[in-house]
Amino acid sequence: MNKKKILKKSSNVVTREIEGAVILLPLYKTSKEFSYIYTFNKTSSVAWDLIDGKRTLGDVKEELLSKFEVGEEKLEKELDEFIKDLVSIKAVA
Amino acid sequence: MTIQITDRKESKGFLKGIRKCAAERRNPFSVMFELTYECNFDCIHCYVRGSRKEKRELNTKEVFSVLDELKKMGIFRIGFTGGEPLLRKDIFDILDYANKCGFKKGLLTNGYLIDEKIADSLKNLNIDKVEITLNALNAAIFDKMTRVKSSFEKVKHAVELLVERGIQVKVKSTATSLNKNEPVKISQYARALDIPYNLDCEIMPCRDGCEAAVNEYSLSGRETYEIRKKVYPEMFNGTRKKSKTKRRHDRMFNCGVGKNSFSITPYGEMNLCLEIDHPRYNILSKGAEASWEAIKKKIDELNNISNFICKDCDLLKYCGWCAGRSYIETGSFNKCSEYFKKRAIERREMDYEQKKDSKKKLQCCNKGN
Repeated sequence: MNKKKILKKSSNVVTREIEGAVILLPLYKTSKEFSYIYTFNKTSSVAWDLIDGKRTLGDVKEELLSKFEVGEEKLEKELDEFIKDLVSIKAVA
Repeated sequence: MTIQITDRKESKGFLKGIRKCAAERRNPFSVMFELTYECNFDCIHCYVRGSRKEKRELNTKEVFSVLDELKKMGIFRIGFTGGEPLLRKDIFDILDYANKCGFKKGLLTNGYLIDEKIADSLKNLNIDKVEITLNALNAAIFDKMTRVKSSFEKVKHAVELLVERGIQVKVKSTATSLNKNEPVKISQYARALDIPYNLDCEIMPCRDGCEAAVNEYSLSGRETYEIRKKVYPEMFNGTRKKSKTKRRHDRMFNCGVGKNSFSITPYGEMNLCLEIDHPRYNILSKGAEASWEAIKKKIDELNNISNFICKDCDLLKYCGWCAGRSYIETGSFNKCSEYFKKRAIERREMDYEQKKDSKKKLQCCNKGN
């Protein structure tokens, strides 16, 4: 994970919290993504909120460490996977 | 830390779960938004006829304000309907705004105005589902029902344009005496296109209570039973599990009204549902949350009345009574509807006959053995 990297949310996605579920909706879907629904769990929804185009990935990791009881190595691995998923669905750049 | 990816097939179950959760908490989840009462068709059985007319319908900015309110209160799914919603000049601005708000969007249209350009726009605006009324595959019958010449070709072409673009399309019909041989053909057409088909066997009275179309075009319970048997064979040959949901006898409203759904008029008023325009609360002056609380209160009052008309009725088991229809027909939520009573008696007779037939068959089998 490049800790200095700053990610920005794509303007082509929007998130909604419905009945406790945080749902990410692509605004302009490709045919492959058509009708897919992306949902976050509790940690990933906090991580999503922290991605603001200002914080570095290192900052995001530190804030998550302060909020959740989790080992640094495990969190870094999970965050890395999460970012890869976000990039793959073009939710961040 | 994960992103759960739910595909088209699974998303149905996921959303069903959220909707159920919303109903339990009595949080609104889905809304029908009537954008206009104007229509380019004049369908023989249309219930919108006789709607109360105000001086003007909501303008674009006001529609956006209503959508903002709906977003704030956690609405997820909106069905845009009318009249004919595509007649609004600002329809694509509205759909674009709703898209950016993160709503799941459905469009209920007669399809007449959908050409290549509009179909492309609907695809680009991320419409989740388009529902089109297709009452016949016979052009003459179709045009007779819409009372617009050459409407059939345009509507059928619209269905196919949307399907070609991968947009979810659902076709639906109302069975009437004019098109009673059509639903089977339409269901086969829908199966060939791999799209869902919904058949409604009930003609609603107009909102002003006029029942001329009901009296003139309604089919009998026996006729609709035979049609349904052909359209949905899986429901009658035991290959599809029957729904276990039964009408509750101790409450007036058994639908989503006051639980997780409501509707909005072109004037920005919150209603119980599309059928009932009383009571109504202006969302822009009262606020959506306060309007919803008022609706819930009204439903609680009606669900808890001690002299609920259906409570001790012998026909209850056979009756599809709906408070909305009763209100339109009789002016009261708590009166027996002649329409439903007639249907229930018919259903009871059919039930007796079926039981008698089964008994006879069983006796024959026993004799054979």
